[in-house]
Amino acid sequence: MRFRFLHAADLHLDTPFEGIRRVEPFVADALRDASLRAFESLVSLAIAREVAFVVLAGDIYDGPERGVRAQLTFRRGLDRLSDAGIATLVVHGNHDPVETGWSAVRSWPAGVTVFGAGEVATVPVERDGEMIASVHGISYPTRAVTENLALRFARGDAPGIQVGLLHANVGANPQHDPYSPCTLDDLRAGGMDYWALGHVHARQVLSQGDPWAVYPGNLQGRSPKASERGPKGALVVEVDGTTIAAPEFVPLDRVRFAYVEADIADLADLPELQELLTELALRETRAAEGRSVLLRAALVGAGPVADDLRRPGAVAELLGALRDGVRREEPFVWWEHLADLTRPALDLDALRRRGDFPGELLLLADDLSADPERLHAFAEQHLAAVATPTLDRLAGPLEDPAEPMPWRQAVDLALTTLVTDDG
Amino acid sequence: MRIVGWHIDGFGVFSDITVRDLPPDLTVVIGPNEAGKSTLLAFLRGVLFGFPDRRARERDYPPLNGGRPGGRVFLTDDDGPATVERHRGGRGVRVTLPDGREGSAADLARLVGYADAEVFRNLFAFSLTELESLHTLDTAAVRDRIFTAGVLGAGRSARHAVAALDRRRDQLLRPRATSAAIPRLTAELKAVDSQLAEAKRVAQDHPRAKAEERRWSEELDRLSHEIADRRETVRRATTLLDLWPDFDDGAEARRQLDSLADVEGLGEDAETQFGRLRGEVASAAAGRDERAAELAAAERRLAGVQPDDRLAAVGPQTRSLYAELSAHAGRRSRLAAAEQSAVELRTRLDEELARLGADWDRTRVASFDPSIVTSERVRAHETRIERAAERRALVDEEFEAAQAEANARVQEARRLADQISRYAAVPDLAALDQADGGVRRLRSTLSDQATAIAGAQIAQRALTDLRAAMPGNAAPVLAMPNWLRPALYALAVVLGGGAVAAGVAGQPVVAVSAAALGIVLLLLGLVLRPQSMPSAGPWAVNNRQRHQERLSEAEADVAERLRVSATLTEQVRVLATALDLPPAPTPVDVEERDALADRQRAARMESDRVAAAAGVARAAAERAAQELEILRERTDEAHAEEREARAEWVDVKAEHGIPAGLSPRAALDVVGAMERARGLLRQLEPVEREAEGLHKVTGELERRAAEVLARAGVDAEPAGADVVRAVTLLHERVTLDEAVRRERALYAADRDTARGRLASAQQRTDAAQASFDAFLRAVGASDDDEARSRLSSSRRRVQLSERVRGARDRITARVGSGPQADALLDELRGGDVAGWRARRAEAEADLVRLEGQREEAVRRQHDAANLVASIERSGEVARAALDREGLRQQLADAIRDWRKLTLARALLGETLRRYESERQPAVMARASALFSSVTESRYEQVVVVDGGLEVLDRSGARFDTADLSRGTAEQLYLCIRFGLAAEFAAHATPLPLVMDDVLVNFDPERARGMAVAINAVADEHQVLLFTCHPHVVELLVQLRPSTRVIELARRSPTNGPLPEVVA
Repeated sequence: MRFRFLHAADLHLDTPFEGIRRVEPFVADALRDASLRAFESLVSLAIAREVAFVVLAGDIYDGPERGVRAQLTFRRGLDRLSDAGIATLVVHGNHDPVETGWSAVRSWPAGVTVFGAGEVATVPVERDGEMIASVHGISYPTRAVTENLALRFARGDAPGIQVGLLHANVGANPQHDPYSPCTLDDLRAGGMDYWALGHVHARQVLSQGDPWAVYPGNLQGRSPKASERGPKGALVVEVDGTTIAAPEFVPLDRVRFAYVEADIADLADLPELQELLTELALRETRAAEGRSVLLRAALVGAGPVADDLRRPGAVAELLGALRDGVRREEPFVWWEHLADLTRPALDLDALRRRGDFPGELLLLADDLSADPERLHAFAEQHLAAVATPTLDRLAGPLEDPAEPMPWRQAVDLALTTLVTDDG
Repeated sequence: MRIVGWHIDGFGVFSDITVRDLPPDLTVVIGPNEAGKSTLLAFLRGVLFGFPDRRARERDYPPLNGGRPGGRVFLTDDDGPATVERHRGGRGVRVTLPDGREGSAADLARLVGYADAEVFRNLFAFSLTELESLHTLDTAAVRDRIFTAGVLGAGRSARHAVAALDRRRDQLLRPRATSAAIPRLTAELKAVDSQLAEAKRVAQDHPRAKAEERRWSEELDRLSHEIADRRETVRRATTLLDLWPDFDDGAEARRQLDSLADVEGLGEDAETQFGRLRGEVASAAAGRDERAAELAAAERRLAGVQPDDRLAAVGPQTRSLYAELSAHAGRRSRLAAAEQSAVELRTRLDEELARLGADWDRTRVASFDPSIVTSERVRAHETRIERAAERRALVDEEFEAAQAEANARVQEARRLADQISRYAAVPDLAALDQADGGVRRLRSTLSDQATAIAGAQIAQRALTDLRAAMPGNAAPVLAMPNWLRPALYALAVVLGGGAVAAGVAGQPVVAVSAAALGIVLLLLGLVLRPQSMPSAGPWAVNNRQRHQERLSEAEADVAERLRVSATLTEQVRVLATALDLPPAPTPVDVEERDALADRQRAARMESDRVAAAAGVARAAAERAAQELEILRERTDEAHAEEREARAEWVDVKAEHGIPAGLSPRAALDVVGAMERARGLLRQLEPVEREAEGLHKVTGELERRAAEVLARAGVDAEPAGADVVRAVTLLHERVTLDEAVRRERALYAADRDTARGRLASAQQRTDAAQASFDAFLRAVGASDDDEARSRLSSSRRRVQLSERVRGARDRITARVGSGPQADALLDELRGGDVAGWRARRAEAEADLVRLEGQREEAVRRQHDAANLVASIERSGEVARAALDREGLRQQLADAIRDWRKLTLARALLGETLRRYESERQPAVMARASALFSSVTESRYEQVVVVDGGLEVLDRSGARFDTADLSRGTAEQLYLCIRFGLAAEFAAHATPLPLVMDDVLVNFDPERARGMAVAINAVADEHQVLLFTCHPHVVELLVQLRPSTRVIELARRSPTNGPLPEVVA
């Protein structure tokens, strides 16, 4: 029998988004509803494609407290799937473990299976009286599951395909917590035909058949990080008997994060920079195919514009000008942040050999850079005023100021403040 | 590195200039203002470090004397000579290394010690401007300037940079400043955290809110059940109380029924049947009586109507006559009209016949042939004749007018021709123009002649005087002062010119007067001669020679003048002759001749005008004659047409026998009368025939009407209108009689019907009576009374049974059937009325209480449901979380910025500390030595104390830089700069020191001191000093004889090459 099923994961319904600076109300409204609307689009897709079942591989919610809106939206979506005769099979992950948090939903509609945390359970899926698949799954009991849950999976004897539904870190992806760590070999040993994985937000196919092991990625980008950028959505998998075709990615996100770099080397002034940034935004808008875009830009390179950017408030003014030029309704392009990573147009080698004060400063900076311990001590000595537990808690973890990029920026700032007339 | 020379292709005022072999120590370039010192400095800086961008606010120095903008600078360092070549707008810098290879930008950077123009300007260039700017600073600024002169900040002091960073840091974080960005964001973040926590708490209250909602829903259900129970109790008790009366009544009826005796033979409906049968008998008898009354009435009506047979006999004829009455009346009316019309026509015909004559009658008129002549034909002839006559009269009138016009034109032309003949003798315009020209030339020539004659006479007289004045000659007749004769001659010439002008202006009297006076003065001059000088001695020989010479000249002059005069005289004669004047005309003659010419011109113009008018008149006369001929032809045509029309009429009259003397109008009258008579006759004959026919028809009808009236018994014999009335009356009687007959037939039918109905009514009465009798027998009664008695008993039983049944039915209708109904009935049988009332009251009291509780439960349940819905709809958690994240990022950015600023500041501070501890002492040591030298040991040392500078005098006393005089402060500033340059050179590639007139404002003593310092610096450093003061040059050369002096001349863009002077 030919059928199809839908594989999604990491819905993070009602996610608060991370790493985003303050936005205007029309952006906040779009972000607030983005994950919920993406899920509604997922349900509509499943109904439109007449899938036989939907598998959701964990992290349905963003946290154990599981906002009421998120739960009710999830419930309504499952109701629609149930009314359409589509089975839904769900496992919980590290963000929404079953034994923590509270639930506003006491019962699930017919056709919905939420796998428990005790052991791997198997649920058959039938269509027109014929068994088409067996879905095996297990949820996280708590947030930190360090056991290799993949080892508990075993192939069954029922006809149809065998689907493993698991929230795990396959191959020790360093960008994600090492929960349910396992390897590709562990997955192969499980005997599944298709591993419907969740946890890693970047969409990737770990194995193309025998078995298929696929991360669909999250449903809606949550932050400007690289893994959260670009199209997000779910996979539609065509099956003919026991032959599984390559999953088809369908974008379902409502707001897309993007990142652009603007090299100032060939630019003469700030208006040209603004024009370049506007063109880059237009490119991202077209790529987003009618979605709103949260755009982060990095200004790189060296050139005369760097001096203009050093002027206090210049970057904020440029950002304000870019924001003023966008429409205030969806789909919009919101300039989330402009990072000034440009370098002053200084010949540092010549500066070093000059022997004057800037040269001396540069030589001192080189000495500190060459000795990380000394640099750390130097930084700690001078940065004690902001090294408080309160600020650490409130601002969250920040990069080490002695790391190459922040230190370089400090050196550039010292040099430019010394050699220019601004300040 | 040091500069050994340069070649300027083109830069400012310089073009193709070469300087070589600069010494390694001191070179002085001297030149006045605008000589090019600053230009040279800019050239050196531009070639070595790059010409400033056109966007920079620096002077451009375009080549004013030609040449490609730029040039070469010749350098040398430890590796040997090198050349740096750069041109503005070129392909960049070109470096030639000591081995002849082309070097790179890196080589150039190495050569110049990796310095840029700014470093060069701040370290190695000394300008008068920066010294003079010290005068504009306050004490603190001067102190700071001096101090920072020793700090190698390129463009800014390190301390200023540190201060700038501190200001930016303070905006982010500073002690006890809550308005700074970081504490402000921290406070906002804490507030948002609280909001988020509250939002989460509210969201987490969802289960409790749901539970509360459920609890109140359950309570609501419980109360609803209790209320329903109480209502059932009330309903049951009310039902029992409501049913009790019926129940009790039914029981009583049962008892009474049981006590009544049974009546046999009577059915339940016996009484009903008794009443019905009695009623039927009475009803049938009543109906019979009504039918009998109807029959009697029908017979009476029948007897009341009787028709007339005579009218029936004449009915059809009467109707026929009546139908014709309308037509008869119309015929009678037409007959009257026809007879009236005939009378009128006869009268008019008689009138026309009278006009025609006594021998005219109807027969003759009728026999007249209208084809002979018709009024239309006569009218046509009349019209034609009238039109022809009108046209002829019109044309005659036009002809007469044209003839008069032509005559007038001819006379006018003749008159004008006569006038022309009178101007035959007047010359034509060409001759007149020629005469005018001749007069003008004659005037001019006369004037020239007069002038020439006067001049000749003057010359002649002068000659005479000369001859007379010849030394040894006799004295002239008359002597005069020497100046008088020339005056007289001059006045004569003036008057001659005035005479000519007056003549040209047309003022002959003035011209003649002036000429005459001029001649008199001329003659007077000729007569008188000046006094001559006595001749004596050797002097006289020369005088005589000179006099002879003048004499010859005068004679020649006279001869020439006489020749000219003669020529002009001849010209006058010729011109006068041509004008018919005397050969030597006077001005009067000339004016008269001019006047004649004017008169002749006027006459000629008049003649020409008259001739033109005569031509116009002739043309007009000819046109008038042509028009007259045309009109003549038309007149002839019109006359002929009229004659033809009249002749034709005569022929018509002769043809048709119309009296010859009749005009067409008269003939029209006769024909008209004839035609009118014929017309009347044509009208009259049909009218008469019609009247006759009508008379016949109306008579016939009247005869028939009389006959019918007689048969109907009407005695009158009406005629005319009476016939109509009589027939109409008879018709009405006939119609009425027919109606009576119809009515009688109806009445007869009614009577027959009434008889039948009476018979039926009688039958019904008999049948009802029989039925009643049978009933009596059935109930065992012999009569009515007995039957009633028996029926009353039966009725009582029925009533009681009805009561019993009724009570049972009502109870059953109320309680229904089934076990519950049976239980209710059992309870009803108990008859506990008081108990039922008590139970009902108690239940009603409970209802009031329970309904109050339910109302409260509804409100509480509604509130709980609203809270649940609010929580489920709320996006407050998401909003607060998003706000928090935004604030967190903002705080993180602020912290990052603060860290960056702090580290940058720390780096600057550390570098400054190092410099001040490691480099500055050497700078100050060098500066101290120089300062001591320039102040002649008045001040021994310069030290840095607590971030500031102090100077120590020979006694060790300390002075702040603010305590120094301006001049000494400037000296100190320069010494520190020298010290800095020397210190820099010790650690990096030394560059030449370039000084632009830095000594000019110093007093001689200080200038000498600074010259000593410069000289000392030159021992270790190449120094290029620019000045416009020779005393500075002398001072430096005095101190260092090997000083190379280059002189620059003041230049302009057009000056040639700079001359080179080697000291």
